[in-house]
Amino acid sequence: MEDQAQKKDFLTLIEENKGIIIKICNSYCRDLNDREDLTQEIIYALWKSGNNFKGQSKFSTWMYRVALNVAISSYRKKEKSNAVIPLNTSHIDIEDKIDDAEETEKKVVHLQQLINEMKELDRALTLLYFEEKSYQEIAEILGISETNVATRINRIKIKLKQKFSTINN
Amino acid sequence: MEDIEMKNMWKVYDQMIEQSKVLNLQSWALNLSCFETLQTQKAKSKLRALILPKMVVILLGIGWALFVGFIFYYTLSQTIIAISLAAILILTVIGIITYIHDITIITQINYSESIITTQKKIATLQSSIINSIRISWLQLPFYTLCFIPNKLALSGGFKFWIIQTIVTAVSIWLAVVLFKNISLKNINKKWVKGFMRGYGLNRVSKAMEFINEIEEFKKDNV
Repeated sequence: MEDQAQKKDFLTLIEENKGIIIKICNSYCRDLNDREDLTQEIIYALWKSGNNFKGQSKFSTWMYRVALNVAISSYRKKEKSNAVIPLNTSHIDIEDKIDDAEETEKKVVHLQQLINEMKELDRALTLLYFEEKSYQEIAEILGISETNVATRINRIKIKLKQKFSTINN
Repeated sequence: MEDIEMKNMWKVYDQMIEQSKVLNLQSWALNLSCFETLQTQKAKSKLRALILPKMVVILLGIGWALFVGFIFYYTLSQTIIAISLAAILILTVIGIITYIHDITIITQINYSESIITTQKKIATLQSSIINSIRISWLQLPFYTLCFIPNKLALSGGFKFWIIQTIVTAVSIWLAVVLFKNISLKNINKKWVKGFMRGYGLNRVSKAMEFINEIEEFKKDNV
């Protein structure tokens, strides 16, 4: 009974945070099947690591750590197949949902695409930044200093702006 | 494109995910036990894939150490052979300890730790074979000496010792050069990369590059 209640609570938490799980999967896998596998792997890792959450940090900090660690590890194993994907919006599966989409939605696809081209750690940093995590929380999740977070985010923002304008032109 | 515009785009992304039914959690709730069993099997096989090759090397290493130890015991009176075999034995044992240490780290990998800590542990494990390679090359000079019995040492003559000295000196030079250079910090040197690939260790080379990236990422002054 207690076990069932635990499972229900867990699934509620996953439901509340499914957006970030999907975004992490979209950022580290380009193949739909790989993405589904990664989603399952992340949820399983969260379920299994549940006992390691001692409440010393925020729940979201812990969740991001587990999810990103699983994603980066999985990405590095499959790096060869991921590396050859050319710059093409058709590789982003949300495209199916934006067939008649407006300009903003297309830009979202471009943004995701630009994130996918970054190095693994920069990708994690960018995801956390767009999720509006504080510099302190990003530093805790990644294990670097706040100063480093700030400097890197500034550099990433500049690069993103430049690349965005190149794509739009 | 302004910062706020990019953040707004991210919000649109959230809405798109919310509207889509990418993650059907309701069906998962019904099948969570099944899902758990499947994932446990997957996790176990991944762990086996990491640990099994190392276990095999440990067993082979123990077999080799026993063999060398056995010969060492019966050649104790032959000074040069005994010293060489003792050195080979010690280096083999160090290699075995390195592998045991790796297995301990594998069992301690915790995804709840920070990204940098966990990823560095994983990448270090992937590149740990490099230590075994370094240690195995360090044994080289002793293999050039371990066949010289006392009698040959005394009666070998000038020519024998000249050739033997050259061969051993070259092997010492080679062992030291490789031991010093085949390391994390030198992975960007072309010949080190090539040497590693010669071992079919492209993956190790990539893992080491990732460790360098991690170190770079940790630096405050970027």
